[in-house]
Order: sequence, then structure tokens, then C-alpha cells
Amino acid sequence: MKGLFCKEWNHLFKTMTGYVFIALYLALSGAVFTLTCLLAQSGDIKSYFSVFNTVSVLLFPILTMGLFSEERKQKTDELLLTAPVTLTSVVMGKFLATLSVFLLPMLVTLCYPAVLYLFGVRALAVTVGNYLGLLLLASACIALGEFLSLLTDSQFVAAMTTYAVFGLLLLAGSATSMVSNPTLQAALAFLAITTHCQGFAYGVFDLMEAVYFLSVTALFLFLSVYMLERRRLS
Amino acid sequence: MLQVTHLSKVYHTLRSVNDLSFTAESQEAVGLLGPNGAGKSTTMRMLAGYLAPTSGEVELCGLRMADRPRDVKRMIGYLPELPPLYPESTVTEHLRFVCALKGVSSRDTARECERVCGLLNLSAVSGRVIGRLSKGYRQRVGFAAALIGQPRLLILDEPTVGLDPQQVVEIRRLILDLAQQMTVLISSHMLSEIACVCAHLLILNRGVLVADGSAQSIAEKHRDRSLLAVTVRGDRLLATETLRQATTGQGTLSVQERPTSDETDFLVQASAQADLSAAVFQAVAARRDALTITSLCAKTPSLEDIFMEITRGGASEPAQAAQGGCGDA
Repeated sequence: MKGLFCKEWNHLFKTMTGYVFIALYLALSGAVFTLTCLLAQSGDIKSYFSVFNTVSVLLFPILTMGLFSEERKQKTDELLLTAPVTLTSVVMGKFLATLSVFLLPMLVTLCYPAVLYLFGVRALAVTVGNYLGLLLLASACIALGEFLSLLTDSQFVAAMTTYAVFGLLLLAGSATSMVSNPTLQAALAFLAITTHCQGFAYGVFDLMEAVYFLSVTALFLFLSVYMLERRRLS
Repeated sequence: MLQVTHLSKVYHTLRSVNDLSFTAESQEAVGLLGPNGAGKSTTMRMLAGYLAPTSGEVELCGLRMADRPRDVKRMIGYLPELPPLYPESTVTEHLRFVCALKGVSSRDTARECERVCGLLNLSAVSGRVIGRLSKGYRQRVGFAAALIGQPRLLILDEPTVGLDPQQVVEIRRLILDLAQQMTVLISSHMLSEIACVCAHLLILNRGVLVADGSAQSIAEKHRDRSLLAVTVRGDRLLATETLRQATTGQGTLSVQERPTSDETDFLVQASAQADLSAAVFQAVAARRDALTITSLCAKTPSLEDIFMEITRGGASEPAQAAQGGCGDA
């Protein structure tokens, strides 16, 4: 898996995808931090994360759109699938490499709570909780994006599909308050991926929400392996 | 060494490979021949583990692909028709990645990359980005990647497509060398391509194995007919009718018109015992006022003719024409 991880990491940076993602991530997170904390003269990091969690969801397709679609288009999937490695390691190698690329700008944004700390805001639990929530959100979104990139051999189609699915997941949160049916409300609340970070936003380690994100991640990684195997059999 | 038993692949309702069984020994070059759409690439993809067969088994060195896919894949080097390369990587980076995939230890990786680069004359371009290499060099990089890990079975799907004549000769020489160390399975739709490197031929047509053996044994088995190549000057319709009458009930006639000439080529196929040359000569001579024989030659079917014959009805059947080598009448 180490080889696959390194190859994917190299690929993301040699094709500029990684740089574009990091640049957009830092630009948008900087803008959100400036607006929600600096200009608002607020030391509450929660307000930054409440906006940026939603924004970050729209950045993940940049990283995931080509994960498998590009391999299929260039026929390099033949190299991966005829190599003496398991399908699980192929899927996991790509997933971990993508997640690690996401971690780079996320680590850079640690300077935001550091700035607030200099201004005397000391909210360690809230900061750690929010970063953990964002990490879990990223892991679920990357797994879902990886699965969606398996369904086509066009990066563009993969990106559009991922944006459509992520858009629906974000809209589900807003739609929760618009429906009166409790079952439908519960279903929409379950689908609204960013609202599951709310527990972490207050610095509380919410085991249920952690399980939710990890389950979504595991489900889509499993479905990716299943799709690869099914394609081999079809 | 390699044992393939009742291998079949069905895509929806299309049976791409049908009940294919054959064996290949170690240190043997085996040629998989067939017209386009015969099922060669599907067969190779199943042997390489890229596709799972609908039924049947692939066994390499006593290990079944279905039971121990990783162990079997470790013994296989596979070069698909389009080499699987990452255009943004350098040659060395790509080969290092393949080493990692094939489980070559990091200590041996540099040595292994050097070895395959040396075999394929890639040392001069090892630091260059693959996307900027010529097609010939990209094919070589794909070939080098297939050789990593010293496989026991090397599967090459049309390895010389797109190469210039010099590179084709080099690759053929390399394949012959490699066949001294491992089993090499090469596919092509060109008999001439395969016949010069492989002693063992497998001919596929519409997914069915129609011939298995050496070129000589296949030729002997199918030399149960004679060919008569005739060229007639004069009215084509009259010539066709005359030859059809002369060969009726004894052989089949195929016609190839020459657009810029008043001559027409005919190929008469009959059983090996039948000699139709006298009958054809007399029939045309009877119409000597309008027709003239410019060439009449009895032929023994070449391996190419046999290949055409047994793959007749394939997806892209080439036009069958009388071959040269005949003296003028």
C-alpha cells in the first residue's frame, strides 16, 4: 500500500491538482477566518468552522474526481488490477493519500487558533473538537468522492456527480426545517453531513457522530472495493 | 507451467471466449493469433487476472488464479495493447512504482530498474517524463515494467504495434532471448509477426480455439486442399462464367478484380487430390478469341492461407487473394 500511497501523492502534485486544492483551501479558509473572526472581532473559532465546514465540502471533488476515472481513461487501472496487490489496498492507498493532501492545508490553518490564542482566547477543547469534526467530515467526503469517481471514466462527469451529491447533502440540512413529517425530518437530518459536526463544534467528543462519519467512510470504501471486483467479474 | 482449462468469458449475451483450453511449457514462446474481435485481448486479460473468467481455470506453476490470485499475479508480467503508463511520471518513477506494486524490496529496486532499463535500452531516457516520450519509447517503458520482478509468464498483447521496423526487430530479438528464461505469450492478428518468434501457435476465431500446435503441424493438418491461381485477360464476366463452369462440383472459385487492368485474378480451391489445371486451361483455351490465360499456377496452401481459411468469418476477415510466386504462362 505504501507504493500506491506514494504514487497517488506524487500524482496529485505532478498534475497540479494538489496545489490547486491547497491554494483554494487556504484562500477560502483565510477569507472565512478574516470575515468570521478578525473583521467580526470575535474570538469564537466555532463561527469560522460553522461556515468553513460547508465551504470545504465543495473543495473535496477537486481531489477525488480523478482518483479512478483518470485511471480508467488512461487504462492504467490494468496495471493496478493485474499487480499482486489486493483491491482493498488500491482503494485505501488512494484514500489515505488524498486524506493526507487534505491534512497539509488543514495543519497550516492551525495558525488561526494560534492567532486567537495571542489575543487571549484559550478554547483548546473547542478547537480540537472542531478540527476533529472537520477531519471526520473530510474522511467521509473523500471516501464518497472516491466511490463516485469509480462510476465513470471522465473526470468532468465525476466532478459534476460529486458536486451534485455533495450539494444535495448540504441542502438536506437546510431542508430539515422545511418539512413537518418527523420521519422525513429525521432522514434529512441523517443525510445532512455537515450538521453531524455540531457536537464537535462545542468541544464535545460525540461518539455517535464519530461513528456516523466513520461508518460513511467505511461504507463507501467498501463499495469502492465491491465496484472494482464487480467490474472484474462483469 | 501454464494450464488453461475450459476458459470462457461472457459479456452480457456475447460469448467472447468459449471453452478455451491449452497448455504452455516453461521457456516457450506461444503465439495467440486471430482476427480482430477473436477474443485474444480478453483471453490475455483473464490470464493476467484483470478480468475474472465466467467459467474455467487458469493455473500457473501449479497455483490456481482463483485460489491464490496474488501469488499467481506475482509470477506474471503483463503488457496490454496500450501500455499502462502515468504520463506525468518519469521513467524511473514509473518503474519504481511497479517495483513497489510487485513487491520488489526497496533494497533491490534500484538494481531491478537498472536491469530492465538495460534490457530495453531505456537508460538514456530514464529521467525523462513519460508523456514526452515517443510512442516507441513508451512501448518500451511498458515492456520494461512488465519485466520487473522476473516473471515466470510474460503476457504481451500486440507488443510491436506502432513501433518502427528497427524497434520491431529489437523487440523480436528480446522476446526470443526472454523465451529462453520464461514462458512468453504474445498476441497478434498478424501471422508473420508471430511466426518468426513463436514455435507454438494458438489460433482463435470468434472466441474458439481453432488450431493449437506448431506452425508445421497446423499446416500439415490443414493441407487437405490444393489451390490454383489463375490470371485471365479479357472480359471479366465471361472469364468468371468460363472458370465457374470448368470448376463446378470440384472446387470453389474466388475472384479478385484488378481495377486498372483488363486482367482478373481467380483462386480455385479444390481437394488435395483434384487437379483442375487442365480443365481450367482447356475451358479458357476454348474461348481463346475473347480470353487469354496470362498466369496459371498450382500452389500448396501457405500457413497464411491456412490462417485465413480457419479464421474465415472472423470480425475483420481480410480479403483472400491469390498469392504471388507464379510464373507467367
